Amino acid sequence: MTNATIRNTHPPAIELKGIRKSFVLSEGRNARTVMALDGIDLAINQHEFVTIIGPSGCGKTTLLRVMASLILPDAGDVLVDGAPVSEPGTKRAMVFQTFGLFPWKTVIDNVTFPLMVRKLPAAKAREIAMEHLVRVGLEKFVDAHPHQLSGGMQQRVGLSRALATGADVLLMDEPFGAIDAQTREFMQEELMRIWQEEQKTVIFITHDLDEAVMLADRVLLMSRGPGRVREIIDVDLPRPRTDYDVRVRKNFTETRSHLWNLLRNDLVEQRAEETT
Amino acid sequence: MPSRLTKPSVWLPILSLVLVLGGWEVVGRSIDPLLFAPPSAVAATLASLLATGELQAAAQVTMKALFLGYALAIIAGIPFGVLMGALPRLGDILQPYLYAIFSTPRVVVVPLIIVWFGIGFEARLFLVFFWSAIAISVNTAQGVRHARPDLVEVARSFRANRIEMARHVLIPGAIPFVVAGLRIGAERAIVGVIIGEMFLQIVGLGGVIQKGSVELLPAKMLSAVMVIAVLGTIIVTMLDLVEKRFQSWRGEST
Repeated sequence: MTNATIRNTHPPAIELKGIRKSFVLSEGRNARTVMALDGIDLAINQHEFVTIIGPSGCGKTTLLRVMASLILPDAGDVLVDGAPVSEPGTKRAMVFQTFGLFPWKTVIDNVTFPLMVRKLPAAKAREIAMEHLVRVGLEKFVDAHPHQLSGGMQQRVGLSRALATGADVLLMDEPFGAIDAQTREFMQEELMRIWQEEQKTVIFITHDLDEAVMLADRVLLMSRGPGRVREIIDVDLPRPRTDYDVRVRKNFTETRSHLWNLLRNDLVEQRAEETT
Repeated sequence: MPSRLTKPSVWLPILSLVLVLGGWEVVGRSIDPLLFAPPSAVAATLASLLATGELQAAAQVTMKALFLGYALAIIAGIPFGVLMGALPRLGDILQPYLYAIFSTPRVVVVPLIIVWFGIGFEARLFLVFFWSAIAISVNTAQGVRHARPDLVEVARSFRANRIEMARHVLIPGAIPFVVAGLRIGAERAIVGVIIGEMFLQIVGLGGVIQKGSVELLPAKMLSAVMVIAVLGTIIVTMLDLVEKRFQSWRGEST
């Protein structure tokens, strides 16, 4: 099945319609309302890899949390496979920036946690968890506690936990941001491999331009201030991609510098505002 | 929290014990025997009190109220604390009163307790239970409120319900606070039971102290004090073990 036919026969994996969300910041007496998402319309196709990038405070994390139904929008609808949702569901699974592992649980118990919540028999949950942990090479660490693992290993556990739920959509909030650069490259390749093998839909926040271009089918650039989608850029690079191959391609450097020029303006404005 | 020594030496504690007992002996002998007693006299009195069985009987009375009251305080205090922590409104409403009770000297309410419970076992049990339970629940509530928001979000994203949230996120995260609460609660329980035995009904180890005071027998008072100290040490040591059992996941470095 080609991407085009998938698009025609399936509703988008995630669709946002007119999403608005504001927060009240109370700073002493002068409470002020901050617009985090100001009318977002967006459709993410089945099996698509979308990265979201934007200056800090642009609302990208809020956007992801709205997609996960961890935050309810003030207005607008979130649709998963065409059906409106208002609470976290089993089709979507989050991967967290700081890994979100329970320090008091062993690796395997962290991975079985979502399955246990779903009342799966313990033996079955363990089997599924083991399968995913073996895949990311953590079979020797199933009974370790998170603090005994490196950052990269901890995020592999976080990824295994999300995959073990069987969710079709992975919502990833700067998942490799807290991981050292070399490990990150391995993790990126591992994620792309899993995404391709298992036909997942991935929505991936990052603040790293290279990472955004490297991984994505489409890069969604958000603008500063009232959170809006500034531009959505198709990344036309062959797959499977490896870091080394992709970086030297003309499309990569062009897309990257295009994004950087857009982003740069926002960053310059932001800095100017901060200093005045 | 006690820091772990890399090489636990037995000689240091023994040396300190010898110095303390030696100093006490010297000072004790130089003071009027009606006011104070050296360790040698305390040891002799301790032996004779043990021989007559008076001390064992007293300790039994004390321990009955102490352990029953403390156990009830744990059984009631932890769930109540979890509730207060998990329902911030309830916590906000109750907290000031609990703090007020918590910081009121217990002796002040002895007359009230006499009116409510008389002077017998129930009154002592209440003294132990009430203050201990408040310490435990206030600390537990604080621990639950300090739950890591990121982990709460993780559990929410995987659709954990309230009970699962409490069991897998809030309570494990609150355990260091709960153990601190159990420690304060134990101290409060011991003080509570002794106050009850000294000011309500003259029984138990507190009673032995009171009688020793009336009979002008400092050695007898100090014997009971020693037993109470040993009892307290045992409880605190047991709590240390509980803490270690629950915190194995923390590792050595943190």
